[in-house]
Amino acid sequence: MGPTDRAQRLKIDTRLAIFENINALQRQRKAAIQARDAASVDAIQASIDTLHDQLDDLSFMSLEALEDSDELRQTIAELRLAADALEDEADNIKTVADALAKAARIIDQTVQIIEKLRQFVPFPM
Amino acid sequence: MVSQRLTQVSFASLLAVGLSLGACSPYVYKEEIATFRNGVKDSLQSFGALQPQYTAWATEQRNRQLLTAFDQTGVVPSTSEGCLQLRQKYELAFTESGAPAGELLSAADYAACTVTPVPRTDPNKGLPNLQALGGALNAYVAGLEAVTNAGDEAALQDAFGALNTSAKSLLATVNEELAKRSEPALEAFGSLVYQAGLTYLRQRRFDALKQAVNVNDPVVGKAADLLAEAAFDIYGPTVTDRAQALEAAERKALQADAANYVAVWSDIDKARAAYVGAIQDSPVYAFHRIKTTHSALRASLNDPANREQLEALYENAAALKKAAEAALKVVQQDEGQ
Repeated sequence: MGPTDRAQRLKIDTRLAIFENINALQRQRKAAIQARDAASVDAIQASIDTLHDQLDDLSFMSLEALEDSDELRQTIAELRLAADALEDEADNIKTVADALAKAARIIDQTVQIIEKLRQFVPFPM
Repeated sequence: MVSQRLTQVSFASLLAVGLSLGACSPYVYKEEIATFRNGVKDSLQSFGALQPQYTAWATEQRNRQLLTAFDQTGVVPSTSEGCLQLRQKYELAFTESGAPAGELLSAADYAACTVTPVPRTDPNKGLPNLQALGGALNAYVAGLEAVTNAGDEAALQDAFGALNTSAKSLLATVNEELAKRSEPALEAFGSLVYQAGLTYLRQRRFDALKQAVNVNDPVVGKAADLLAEAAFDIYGPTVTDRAQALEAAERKALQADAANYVAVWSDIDKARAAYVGAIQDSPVYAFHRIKTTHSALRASLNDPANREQLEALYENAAALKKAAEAALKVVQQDEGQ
């Protein structure tokens, strides 16, 4: 598997992990709507919107023409672990309170993965 | 209209025409190639329409990021250190080497000169420029159609020459895109050979089609894959918009009571249908069908008496037409919003 393939795989894994978290947050947002808790609905919605932005960001991140290197391989391996951890976070969101408490951490992890990936995007020609 | 004709003419009668013609002189797939051409045209039109939508979306994202950063930091726009360095580097490079054969500065030097703060999203970047690929694919399919429609020897010879040129251009464009992705190039093929002197015009048209479609099948498949990949990314914000519209409709349930319950439910249902439709009618399906229709055409040309293969071609062409029209409709709906 070449560096571009590895990076593309990571991009897909990260997207799927973000979706897991969006879905978990959505379930709690639905619960908050049923409870007529408008403040929680809006707070969770703001987190969902941020994750949607991150997804769109990832869509337009061109990872083509990456040079293979030990550093890149190592970073991709680390980021894949981070993507797995991000997916695990989704399982921990079981209540509206969890959603409110954990959303910021999930966003922070997502931003870190994307920022790190961005460092490998070559200059556009 | 080909689409209307296809719905009026039953598949059984098409087959009967095709196979009976096959018995005396070969069937030249006029209807199927016309449907294929329309499908490719609609797919490329939806792809083209997505690009300005992406630019509008990315511009909005960029502006929002800039205003948020200003709100948080109060830092006003400026330029980067790279801009200060640029002229100095240019002068230094010239002093050291004089007018060079190549560039004095690197792409990284130019890219380092930015307006600060630098937003995450840049409407001018991140989007592969596949207009040339779309144009080359369209020209190739138009070439196939011209061959199948050629009414006399001279027209067929002209059409064959144009098909030859467009096929080579398609291969070159696909290989340029593959090179950008560090993927191996597709193998070059020799010029298609026009066979003059055969008795029947229909036989010559059939032979020309068979030769072109056999040689170009991997190229068309790769072009369709590349366009599908790009369409998937460009179309992402459209799906996000529909998902967010559904979330906004669901939020209205906070105020639901007996008086407005049905209206709230109906609004959510409308937003749900639009969200489902956006995914169901994604342009990626149309590009996949371009690939399968061309492959089915190839299979049928290589075994024209095989009823199942002709049926597969018909089904693929019809599915391409449906997917391309649906994609165009969903993209145009978004254009109108």
